[in-house]
Amino acid sequence: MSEPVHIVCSQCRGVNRVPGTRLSEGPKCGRCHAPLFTGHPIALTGADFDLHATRNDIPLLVDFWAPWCGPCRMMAPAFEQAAKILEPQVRLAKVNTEEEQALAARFGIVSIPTLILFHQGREIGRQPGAMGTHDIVRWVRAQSQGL
Amino acid sequence: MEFRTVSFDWSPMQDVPRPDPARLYDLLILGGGPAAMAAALYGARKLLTLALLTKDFGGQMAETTEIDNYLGFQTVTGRELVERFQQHVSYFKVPVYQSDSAKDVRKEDTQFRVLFESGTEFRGRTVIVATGKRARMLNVPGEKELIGKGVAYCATCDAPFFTDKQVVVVGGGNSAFTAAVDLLKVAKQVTLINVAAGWQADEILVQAVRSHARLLDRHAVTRIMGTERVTGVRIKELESGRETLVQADGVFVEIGLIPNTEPVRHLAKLNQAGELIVDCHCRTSVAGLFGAGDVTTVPHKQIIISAGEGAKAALSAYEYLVRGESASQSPE
Repeated sequence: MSEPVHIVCSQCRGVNRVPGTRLSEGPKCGRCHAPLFTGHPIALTGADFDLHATRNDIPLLVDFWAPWCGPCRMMAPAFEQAAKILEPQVRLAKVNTEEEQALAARFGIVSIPTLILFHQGREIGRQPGAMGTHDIVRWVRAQSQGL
Repeated sequence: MEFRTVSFDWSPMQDVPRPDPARLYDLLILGGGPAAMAAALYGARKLLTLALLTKDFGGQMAETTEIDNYLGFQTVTGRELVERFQQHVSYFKVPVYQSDSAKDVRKEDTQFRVLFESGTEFRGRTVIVATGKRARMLNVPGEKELIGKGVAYCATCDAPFFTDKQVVVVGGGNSAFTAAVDLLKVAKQVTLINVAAGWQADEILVQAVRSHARLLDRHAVTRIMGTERVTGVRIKELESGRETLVQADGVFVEIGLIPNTEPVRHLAKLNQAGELIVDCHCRTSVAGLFGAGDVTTVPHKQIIISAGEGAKAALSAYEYLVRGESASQSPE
């Protein structure tokens, strides 16, 4: 990946152009200077979901979860670990379906946890059920082949 | 604006060490439920070198709303009890490999090798299999295709998504009726469908549901309908053979559990139900291989029993490590 890629800053929501070759070099936001990647999933709400889903050039992996859901919470560390492995090639995020019911309804979530992989605003894969780190990474890589 | 990374207050096992594939451990524990965590606790207190290898933590407990029969807790959520167990185990800094499923357990001379789907493997002088059980599938057309699109196996997780909807619960035991209780709080209509005659759940649960739900026993689900979403289930009345369609937005499958014995199915003796045969010392048919919890033939699948069996398995493994083969007698 040598062409510049657009990366949305999780902190100030600024859209950054990062040379593809420097994506792994700990790039920082040109506006607020925060690291663009921290190795942790970010929390998305209805207010910033579309920005991250459509303006990032890298795929966006979203974990739809809820606090009442045991398997969701049990999967959380695996998802955290997956963020450390998959960033900066993929942005990982979480949507709390209890707080963001409109987003859950918009994407037809009827089972949690559900992972949805987006690329440039388009859903390219969906996987219901809890998974371990290896399975998350393997699934994302399989879905994002050829992007 | 704050940097909004997601923080998880529950995560007691995030800072634990990871096991070393190059090391030969005294004890490898497969699983992440009460049996496995109790085994880890007892093994750690015996100062064994050990590792906990699991896809996830909590097992069936993580999907349980309320637990009223674990001694010391009048009422506790499944999630909270899992977290308490994890906190207790994390105190001992037990290395944890949480990634994928164990594929195979092999015994070579006096060592065991545990192989994972990812290609990772660990070696141990003893192994405790505490992999629990998983939900049994209906195995009818439409089921697999509609998982996550209305077909569900965890009412605790997914019931809120069916507010004011019509749902079907398949099964006639306690799990089915507990799911029905959860769903009756939110759904417009709940229909229970059971292939057997009558209802096998505790009478107190049947009474709680009977007057609020539609109950159809001696009916088999033959197909789950829908393409993008579940739209209904086709059912067959067993006596007459007559098929009808029940409209539904969701189908909760609660027809029992199957043991996760795949990694040892070529190694140790299993019973007809696929459970790992153990004796009263948690010993299997293979010296050095122990079993604990719901995955085994031990009757009465309860959290408190699994925890006790996990403790017993760890003590038996310790005894085996100290005394060698003489401490091991294979169960018939």
